[in-house]
Amino acid sequence: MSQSERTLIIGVGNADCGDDAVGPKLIDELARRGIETVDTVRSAGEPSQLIALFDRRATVYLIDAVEAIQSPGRIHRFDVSERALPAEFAQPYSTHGMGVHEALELARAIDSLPPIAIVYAVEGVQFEPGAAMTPEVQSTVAVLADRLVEDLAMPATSPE
Amino acid sequence: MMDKKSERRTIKVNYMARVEGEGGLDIKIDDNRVSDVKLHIFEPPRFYEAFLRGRRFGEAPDITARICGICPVAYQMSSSHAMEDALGVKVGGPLRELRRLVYCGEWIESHTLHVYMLHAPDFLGYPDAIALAKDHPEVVKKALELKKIGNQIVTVLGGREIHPINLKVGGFYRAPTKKDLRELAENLKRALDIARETVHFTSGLPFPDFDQDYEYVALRHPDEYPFCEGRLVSNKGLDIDISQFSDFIEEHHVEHSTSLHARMKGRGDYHVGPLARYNLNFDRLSPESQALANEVGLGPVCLNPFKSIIVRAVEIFWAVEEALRIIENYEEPDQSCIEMTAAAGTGHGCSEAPRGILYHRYKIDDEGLIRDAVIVPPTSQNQGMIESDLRKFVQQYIDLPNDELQLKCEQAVRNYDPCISCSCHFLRLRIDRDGVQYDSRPEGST
Repeated sequence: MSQSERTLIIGVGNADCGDDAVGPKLIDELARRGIETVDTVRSAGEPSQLIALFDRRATVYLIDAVEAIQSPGRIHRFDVSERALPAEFAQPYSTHGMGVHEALELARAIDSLPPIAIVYAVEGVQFEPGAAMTPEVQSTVAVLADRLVEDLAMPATSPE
Repeated sequence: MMDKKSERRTIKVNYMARVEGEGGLDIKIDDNRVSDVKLHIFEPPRFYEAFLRGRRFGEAPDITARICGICPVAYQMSSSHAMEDALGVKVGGPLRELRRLVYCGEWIESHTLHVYMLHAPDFLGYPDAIALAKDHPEVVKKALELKKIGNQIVTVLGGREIHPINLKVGGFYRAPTKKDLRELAENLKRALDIARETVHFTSGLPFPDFDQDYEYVALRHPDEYPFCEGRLVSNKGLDIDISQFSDFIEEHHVEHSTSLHARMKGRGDYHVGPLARYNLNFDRLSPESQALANEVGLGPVCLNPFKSIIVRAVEIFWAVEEALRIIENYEEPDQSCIEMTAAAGTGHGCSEAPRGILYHRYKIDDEGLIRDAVIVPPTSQNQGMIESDLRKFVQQYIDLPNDELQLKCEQAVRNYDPCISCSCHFLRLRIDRDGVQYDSRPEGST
């Protein structure tokens, strides 16, 4: 199998900033489970880096924390292959106001977005440097890993 | 067009996108005269200078690098040089060259981000880089390629591209091999062409007439375009050792900013950044960079802050050239750093961050613990200049409708690529025009 055919899972976030660690922790959890059929990587979410990671990938999953809209620990799944993230999840929290949403839309504009692109967004409330993950978000790591395993076993365009 | 008979007009930009950190802008216009301009910085104070106290001298580069995700190398360089100054150590040879190389990487990634993603949309009438990319995908593809090589340099030398972890007082934890750098060289050769195109692209943008009589302040080195060394000079007679920084420059607090403003004692506001570096060091650029600047009509002196976008492009080209030169001449050092023993002393460091001079001063005790720290970032130094520019610029465009005036003001602020986290992501513009309030982001909006 060539690399471009391997699914890439990107854990976006900062492992030292409370609930922002959910992406990196998910990558750790997949490694712990020994899942070898996909590639995994951690990312701070810088757009040019994310777009470089998308290069020649057929399927990409991004796992990121978002500021709680309803309740911490709630998991949202968005198929962004054809349309942008909903506005309430597209807030520019990253450096210079450019983050995951901007990376996805820039990639779409320059025809560099993988044909299948899925975002898992986990609502968090604690993003301070040095803070621990809240129990609500911590508990989503195993759930996310289970859902990814289910996703990988079926076509990635399943309903949200 | 506004009714010239109205009395007061207020324009408020609550949050302006495409700048780093959190700030806003209030402009008051009375009887068609700009009566007040305030660049509000409401990013919470971060107290770095306070919590550096009591930490070991060797911790300063890693702690201060966390001040900014865009220019961490600048913080590592200024703090390392300050500590080495305090301990009487000079880093030379390949280690010095590697420091210049990693700084090239930071300039390339930071300037490219600003030129294409943050500032170019203003000139071309797009709300953001995504809209620009929809109409000009090839331009944005090349921009991303150029930025990528900057990221690669920082990753190879710094261990990772954001908040690098391989730089330390005295040098590096691990020096790269020749092979590590040869791989970068191939991408840099391609980047040189994109950088040249970037200079041509920026020079073709439409610019307002806005030449200004600033006092430009930058480092000047006897032989090199400046990164970490040299005297602090200006076009109006300043020529000092960096240890005299506080003798000539003072910081002061203004009510509307959580970031201290800086001014030249007895003279006032001054300008730091690419325009200052370029105007004071054109003769230190490579012949190819000088020729390219001349080719696009920039010349050795540029007085229009809006043309700083061209200057940044020239600096990207130069940084790519310089990176290639360093890699071609690189000899692996015998040791990755100079070990040093703690001793009491005071040290000064000043380096040219992408946005301008970044000054650090530390006092350490005989156990090597930091007793006092002073950090003066470039955006702090430029705040007064931004307000001064806006007073003149708004007056020049005073008849524009508020929404058009807002866009012009945002463009003018972005001339400085302000990093408010260092000293602010969004800026809110509020204009009070003869008592009529305009707010780009009314309360309750997102």
